[in-house]
Amino acid sequence: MKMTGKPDYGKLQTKLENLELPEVQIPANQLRLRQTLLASACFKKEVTLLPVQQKIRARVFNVRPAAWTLVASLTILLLTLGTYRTFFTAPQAVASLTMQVNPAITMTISAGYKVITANGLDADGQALLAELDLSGQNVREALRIIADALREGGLLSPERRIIIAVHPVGDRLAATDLAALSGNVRRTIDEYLADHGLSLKVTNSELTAEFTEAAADAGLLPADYVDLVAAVGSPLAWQILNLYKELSISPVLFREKLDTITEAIIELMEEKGLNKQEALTMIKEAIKADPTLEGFNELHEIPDAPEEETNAVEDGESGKPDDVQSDHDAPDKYLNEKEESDRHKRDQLKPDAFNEDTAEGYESDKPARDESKPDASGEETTETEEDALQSGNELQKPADSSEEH
Amino acid sequence: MDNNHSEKDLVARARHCPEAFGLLYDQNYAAILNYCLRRTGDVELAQDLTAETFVKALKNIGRYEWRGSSFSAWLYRIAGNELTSYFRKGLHKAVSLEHLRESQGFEPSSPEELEDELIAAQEQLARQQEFLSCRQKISQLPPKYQEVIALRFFAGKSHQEIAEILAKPEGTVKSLLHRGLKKLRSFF
Repeated sequence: MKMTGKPDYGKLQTKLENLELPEVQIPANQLRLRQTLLASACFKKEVTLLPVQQKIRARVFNVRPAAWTLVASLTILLLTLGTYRTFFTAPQAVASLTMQVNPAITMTISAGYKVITANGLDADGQALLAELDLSGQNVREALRIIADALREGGLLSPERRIIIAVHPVGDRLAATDLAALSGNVRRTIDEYLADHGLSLKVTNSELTAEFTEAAADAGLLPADYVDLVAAVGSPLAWQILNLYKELSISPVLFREKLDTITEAIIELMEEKGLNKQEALTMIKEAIKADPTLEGFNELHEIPDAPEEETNAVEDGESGKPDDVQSDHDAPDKYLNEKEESDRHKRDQLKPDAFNEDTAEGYESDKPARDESKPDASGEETTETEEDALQSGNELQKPADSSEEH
Repeated sequence: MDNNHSEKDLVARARHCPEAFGLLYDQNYAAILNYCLRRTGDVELAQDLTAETFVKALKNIGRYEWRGSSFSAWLYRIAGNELTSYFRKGLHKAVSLEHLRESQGFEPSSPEELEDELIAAQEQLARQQEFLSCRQKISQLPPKYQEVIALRFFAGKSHQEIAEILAKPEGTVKSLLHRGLKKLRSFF
């Protein structure tokens, strides 16, 4: 053989050409394979058609050419429509995911758990997304990309907190799939933090579309209401969010006072022993009595709460009326000015409020409006890794999904 | 042309006639077996890959179209695909053949004889140290170079035949061979 290549491998070529090659024979194996192949059913035998079969075949093949043209045209039309639907129609969102670390961003997610759109909810979020291309990415990969950007920007420091909220869009995602999505989102973040040796608090919530809509109407981000949801549960939180509409309060004012309202409700429940509905009723009455919410600037002390009494004495701010505890008809009296101590109190109360007992307790005294509008309720916020793992191991595509991963 | 014409007829008959397929099998078995053996350096594996090649040829012979290239080139292409699949996945099981045998209830008449034959062939191969050394070096090349070098030097195919087997232009084959040998030289 002649090669036109460089002479530096001429010797090698000669060596290969003269190489003594193995030449084996395995006749018994060869024969066995031959027998197997030739006995195979792959060889078609002539089949004699029965008269009935011949008639059917004749009918099928004797259909007029115009009919075949019609069949062919319909087939092409169906294939074209199918192809168009598959490749050219925009994927539909089945869920929305909001992630807030400050910056805050939100993503719409398709049935195949891919990102359709990603938008910044604040200026920092918009700036962050301007440098990232998340469209079409798997949700897990998108979260890792975002986390990388946040980490590189020094935004995943230990004192910060990652808040994640998912809610369905439309009714194409079953509650179990939403829970699986939420669990996997949480797991992805936890894994990322563990891989990079980061320790931030992560809170994830599954909300209803109605809750998210009410929050958006009030101009609230997840960070504004996640503690409220954790403390009182989504159904009551939804009712609280709607108070500003119900009582015609300015959204801006309501947003400013939401923390204080939340604290007041928690205090009424935790320290006065009221159930959630009673606490909400009292808050409503208080707001009605004070529509400007000036009385909500700082919370009052509750006289019969031992811890608060101690604090009040130490602070020299005791002396609240003794009849406050029994005066449920005048709830505004409970709301006094003491914001600093209440901030401290809230920090103490939040973890306690975030337990199964609270959730169960709520279920037992679920307000009547839940029965008339069950969709208004959302799901509990999860805080532990075990909970996140229980929510699902993989981003599983819904059974009726038509989009590939 | 006569040979081509007769092979074309034989292939056409082999779709329905076991005897015709048997003739094609007899003509090509040894070449495919030894090609697989020289690529893998393992008799039993080569025997499995050869069997898979012929099972696939049998199943797909109805779709084989005569376009000027030989039936043998088609078999080499199937064998090449089987080898590529093996090298990529790292393991091989003669699934098609097993399925075929199960459907027939086929049992070997003399398993010892089959086993002895394979052992003897493996011992024969083990004596060819120089070849094994070369094969080992070639196996370190990227698959596209391995294939073209093996077809050229292990199967003795011309550039044109290799081009037919790989369904690539002859110039591409020459270029692949040139680059493959240059790379291979660094291993010697």
